[in-house]
Amino acid sequence: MKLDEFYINGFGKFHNYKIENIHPHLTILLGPNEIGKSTLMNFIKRVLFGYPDKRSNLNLYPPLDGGKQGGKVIITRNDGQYIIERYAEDKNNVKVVLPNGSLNTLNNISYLVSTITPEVFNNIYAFGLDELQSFETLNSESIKDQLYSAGKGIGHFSLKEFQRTIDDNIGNLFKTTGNKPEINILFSNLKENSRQIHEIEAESTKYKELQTQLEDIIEKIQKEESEKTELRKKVQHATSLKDAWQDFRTRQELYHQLESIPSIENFPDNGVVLLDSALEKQSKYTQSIRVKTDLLNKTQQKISELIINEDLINNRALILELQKGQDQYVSALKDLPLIQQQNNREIEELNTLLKVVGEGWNSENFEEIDTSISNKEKIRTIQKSIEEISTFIQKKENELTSLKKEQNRYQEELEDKKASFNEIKLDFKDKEELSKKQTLLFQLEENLVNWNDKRAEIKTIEEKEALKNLFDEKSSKPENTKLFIHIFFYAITFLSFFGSLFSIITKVPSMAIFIGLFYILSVSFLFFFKKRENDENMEDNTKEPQETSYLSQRKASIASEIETLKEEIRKQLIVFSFRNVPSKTDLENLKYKFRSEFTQFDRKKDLDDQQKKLERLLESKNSELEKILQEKKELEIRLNEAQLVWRTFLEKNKFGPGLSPTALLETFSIIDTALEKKKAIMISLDRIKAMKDSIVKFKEKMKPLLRTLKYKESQTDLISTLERIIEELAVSMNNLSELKAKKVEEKAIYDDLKNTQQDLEKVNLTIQKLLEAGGAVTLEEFYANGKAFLQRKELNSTIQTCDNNIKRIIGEGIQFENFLEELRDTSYEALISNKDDLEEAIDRIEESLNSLKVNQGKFIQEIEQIEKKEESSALRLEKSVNIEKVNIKALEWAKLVLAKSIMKKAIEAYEREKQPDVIKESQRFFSLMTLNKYPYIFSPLNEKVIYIEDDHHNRKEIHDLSKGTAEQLYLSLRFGFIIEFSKNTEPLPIMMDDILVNFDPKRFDACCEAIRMLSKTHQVLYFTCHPDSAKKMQEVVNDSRLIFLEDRFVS
Amino acid sequence: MSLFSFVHTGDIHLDCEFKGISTIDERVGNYLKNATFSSFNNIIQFCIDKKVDFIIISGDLYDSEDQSLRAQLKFLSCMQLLDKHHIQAYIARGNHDSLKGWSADLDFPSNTHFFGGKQVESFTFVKDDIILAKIFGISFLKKDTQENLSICYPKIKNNEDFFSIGVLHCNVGNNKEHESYSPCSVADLKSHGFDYWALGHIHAQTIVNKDPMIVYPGNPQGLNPKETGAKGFMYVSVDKDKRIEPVFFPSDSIRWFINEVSIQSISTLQALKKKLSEVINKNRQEADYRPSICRIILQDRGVIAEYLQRDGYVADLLEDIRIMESDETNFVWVENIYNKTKLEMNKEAIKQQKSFIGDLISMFEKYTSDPALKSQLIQELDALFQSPGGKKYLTPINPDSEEYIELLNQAENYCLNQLQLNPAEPNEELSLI
Repeated sequence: MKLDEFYINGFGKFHNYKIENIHPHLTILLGPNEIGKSTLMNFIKRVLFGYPDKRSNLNLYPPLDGGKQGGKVIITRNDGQYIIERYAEDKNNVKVVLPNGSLNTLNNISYLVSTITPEVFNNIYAFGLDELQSFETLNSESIKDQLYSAGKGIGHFSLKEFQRTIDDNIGNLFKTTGNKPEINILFSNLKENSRQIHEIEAESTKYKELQTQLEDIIEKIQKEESEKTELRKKVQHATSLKDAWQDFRTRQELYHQLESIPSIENFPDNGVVLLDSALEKQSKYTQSIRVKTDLLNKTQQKISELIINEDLINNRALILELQKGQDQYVSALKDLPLIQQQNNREIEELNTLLKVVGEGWNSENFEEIDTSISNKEKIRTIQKSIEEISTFIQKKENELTSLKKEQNRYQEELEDKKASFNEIKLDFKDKEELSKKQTLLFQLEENLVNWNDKRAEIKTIEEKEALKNLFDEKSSKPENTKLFIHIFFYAITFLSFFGSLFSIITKVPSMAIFIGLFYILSVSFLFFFKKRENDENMEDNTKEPQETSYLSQRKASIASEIETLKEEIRKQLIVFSFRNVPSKTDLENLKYKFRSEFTQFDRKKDLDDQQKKLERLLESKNSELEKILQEKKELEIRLNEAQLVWRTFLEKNKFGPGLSPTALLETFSIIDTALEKKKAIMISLDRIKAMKDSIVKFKEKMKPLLRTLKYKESQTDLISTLERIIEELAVSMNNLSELKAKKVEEKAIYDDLKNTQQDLEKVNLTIQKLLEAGGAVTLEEFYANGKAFLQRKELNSTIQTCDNNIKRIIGEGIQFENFLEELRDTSYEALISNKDDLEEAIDRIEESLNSLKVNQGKFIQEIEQIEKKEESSALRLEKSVNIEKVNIKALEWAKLVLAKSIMKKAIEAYEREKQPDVIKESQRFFSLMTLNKYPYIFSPLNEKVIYIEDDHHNRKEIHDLSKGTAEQLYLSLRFGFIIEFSKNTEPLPIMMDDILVNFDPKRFDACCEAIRMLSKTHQVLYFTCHPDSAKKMQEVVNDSRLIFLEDRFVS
Repeated sequence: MSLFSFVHTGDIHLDCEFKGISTIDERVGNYLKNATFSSFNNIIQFCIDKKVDFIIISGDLYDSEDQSLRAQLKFLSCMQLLDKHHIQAYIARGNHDSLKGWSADLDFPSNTHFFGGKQVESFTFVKDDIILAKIFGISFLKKDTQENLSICYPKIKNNEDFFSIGVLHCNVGNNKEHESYSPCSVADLKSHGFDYWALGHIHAQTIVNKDPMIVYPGNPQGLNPKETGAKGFMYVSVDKDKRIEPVFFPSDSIRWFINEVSIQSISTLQALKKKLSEVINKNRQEADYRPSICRIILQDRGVIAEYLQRDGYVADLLEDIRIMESDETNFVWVENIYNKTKLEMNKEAIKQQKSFIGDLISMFEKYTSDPALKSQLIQELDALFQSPGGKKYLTPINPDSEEYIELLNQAENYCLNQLQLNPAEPNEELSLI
């Protein structure tokens, strides 16, 4: 993965800031302190890996100069270019434009930035001097895990964590002791299942025993039930005798009564009733004959009294016809004069209407005018066509007016633009010339800054040289001091030596001792000074020449650069006509002037464009005007044609030429009214004729009728005569109907009388026969015989009822006579006593049966309970399911145990055989950086510590190393990790912030070489504030690009 | 026109506890505990509806020697029902319900005839005073009957007027998939001159021979997840010329299915759910809309394998499917989903990278193939498999078995997936789930 460019919307001090053309191998970003190098590095980190939590101690880089915190990073991978955009306000969502141009919003872009964690990236891929100097940055658990697992092909996945997870899962499934893991629970459930099944199976064996006991009870119950049935039968018989006792006694009594009534052998059934009925009929028939004879005589009298006029009845049809036409005749006589008057008025109105239509039109010829719908439609079509064309012509005239107004407005605007254009005056020929001058101005400004910097630097060197000279002068001064001290101590030594000799000679021992001590001290001082002087001389001889030559070389080099710059600046000053070096204000004024010149150029171009646009608009309006004039002309021609068609139409329909279509349509409406009028007049005339005809016809029909009925023919009041005739006809017709009815009535009475006489004869015969059948001659005799016969019959019937009751009580199976015999041999009291004895016996048996049945119920219930027990099926099913479940869980457990075991073995083998690959790679870099002083890095198995060894295999730990060497080791470890890690994953860019400052020049060069090697496979961004470092690095790594950070602001 | 007809069934295993099911709910439990009874009821109802003359049960009527009382009582009630309809029953005992076991000593009606175990016995079927058939048979005296019982049967002459039937619970042709009880050969059976051999023991319906007809009807109800498809009995009609026409009729009240589903062409988890739903509906149709139980085995490589390896995903999937089925009357109970899928990766290429993953793959290969390492590794499972519960309830794992290899394969998949060997780029459809 390579960074191509990045754009900061807002981040720290940056706003709308862009870095582009980042070199695919090495890019050196050079800028002074506080230009924002760390800010830029952190910007890239955060767009790629996310923003930290606001509560963290990290610098959050709020946008100090405005903008939205965040921005875009453009990267290239093997499959193309991606744009990654992330903002702090929505830090969990990253917008990614994929190589195919599609935009995705994701919350994780780890697949783009390999499987590396943000922590590893911050410490190993993007670091400054602080991170480099601290071993802790490499020593956290997560970094160590990554460092030592690099090349395992498992990304940042923690094996330890995974092993812990497997252990947890294994423990959740099974433990040798415990009752919570799933398998342990299942074992416990299975044990319980087995116990319950065993319990139920044991119950099943009791089943047969219970069945045998139940059978015994059933047998006893059956026996007692049979006894009970027998007793019940006896009780039933005793009850029957008791119930039959009353009927038996009644029967005996009736037989006794029967003996006292005489015996009548034959008597007709219902003889007395029949005789009573026959006698009643005989009386009724005799009375009826008398009444009917009277009625017949009265009817015959009435018939002879009825009178009928035959002439009227014969002319009945004619009379009825005249009666029907009577109303019409009266109405005709009354209405005829009124209708004739109305008709005359209608004729006058018609004539008035026709006068309105026009001269030459009268009631005879006006019907020739064609007022049909089609003709009216023609008129309307012509009318519509004329109106439409007239409307169009009006519209076109309106358009012409508005267009002319618009033309005038554009013309005025154009004049204004031209005036403004001419007002703008410019100093430069064109924009290109202006642009060149502006670039030259920027170069001049840059050169001036460089010139000042160089002068400042040379001044610094001169100061250093001056200091050195001063020091040299100072160091020469002690030479004199030293000489003075030497002489002083030599003098003291001689004086004390001779003083002590003198004291010894003068025999003053205390003085001799004091002066002797003084002598020893002097000699010691002399010896010390001599030795120190020798050491200093040796040191000065090696140091001085080296430092002096470096400063002078550097000074010469800068002086030459200043000369070159000076020449260049001089040429540029001439171009801008500056006599002296311009002040910052001069430069800013000039820049301002150039910027306003640019604005004027843009404005003039804009005005020119607007003028052209207006001219084009005017041209288009002119052509539009001509087009509308042409269209208007065409419409006027069409209007003339339509008017010609109208005139032709009027001529064809015989109307004068001045009539408009609307007027003609109104005329047509009047003609339609006239037509309606004429039709009404014609109908009225027909009606008058019909009335006259009806009057004549009525009179003609009356004449023969009057003649036949002998009325005068010349009568004037025909209606009154007719009404009298009708009344007479009604009387005759009524009499005729009544005569017919009376005749029918007479015949019916006669027939009825005959029938009644026959019925009377039949009844007399019946009475005679009844008397004979009852063995009597007289009616009284007949009635006495009937009474005796009826009494005997009733007594026999009651005896039969008693017998039936007794039979019903005894039921089937017992002889009636035997039963009667039994009753004859006993008394009622004896019967009651026997029944009570039997019922008591039954109660005793029932008590015993109830007890047996309770026992039977218990056994049945117990057996049914065993039979119905389905739990065993459910339990065995549950056990089977649990066995299968435990087997599945056991396989799951076995899978985890095997996974854990093999994983452990694989880890051991890997660490034993392959783990040092990172160390090997680091060792290569470390050897290079330390100029082969330390060719070995060593990491013992299973110990996450590092040792280094020199070429004599002397081992050192990190705390034994100097600061610079330790930094080189840390850098080597990082480079080693980066190389090893990228063997299996996408190589990521590396960012370093001035990390080489503590390296001596040789090791600096060696590190540059290491960076060159690394930049072959990984993109490197090196931030520095040291131009020398940048230059040196560029010399070592040819394939690189230098970017000056201070010049890259983009507005 | 048929002279008489009979039903041949066997291996009913009344009140069987159904082995090999790992999960059930209350509804499925109720169905299962009554399943063998329901299927037997179906046969009895068929006999009554078709007015068959008799029924033959060729062994393993009950599931165990100590037959459950519930099973015996249900059987008794079925025999009483047949008796009401004048249908005879001839029953031989097999290895599961040998005469040695406990019996409730129930009073069976006169239509029920059990064959003894000491010698071959025969019953005569008479209709309208004519002997139409003779049924010969023998029951197992004990479960482990290893002798060839077929040789005890008499020889039937060719010109006999009656139709001869031999009833025997046996393993014909030494079928290795079944225990070798009463082993015999087709030739043994043919040599006796019977018209029809009504056999039991093999649970798959098989016509072993057509002349004479030697038939295993299979069991009338599948008893474990491996006994898939339709299960039933034979309906045999015999005409006056002893021509027979056996027809298979299904009687199972619940049907079993094993569905192997390849994930090769399935790219999203949503698509997988859809596929499983289709599979379940197909089962429902094939089960002829009776309740059924299926076991789903996900297999092969595919992009979704990585997700299926995640803890709890398959369990959630199973739960979802069961919820979908909970309202179905003719439900399909998914007993379990076995994930035998493999990660989509080129192991050989990974091994070449010399990474830890490569070494891990090689390590798994070593422990899959090296016999010494295999027996060493398997000992690590003793903590569970040799525990008291383990010995009693767990099936031991043989290091030379396919099961061991599958187990190692799953362990390897688990590790590789957890190591995030192949962190997939976000997939819209996957992330939506």
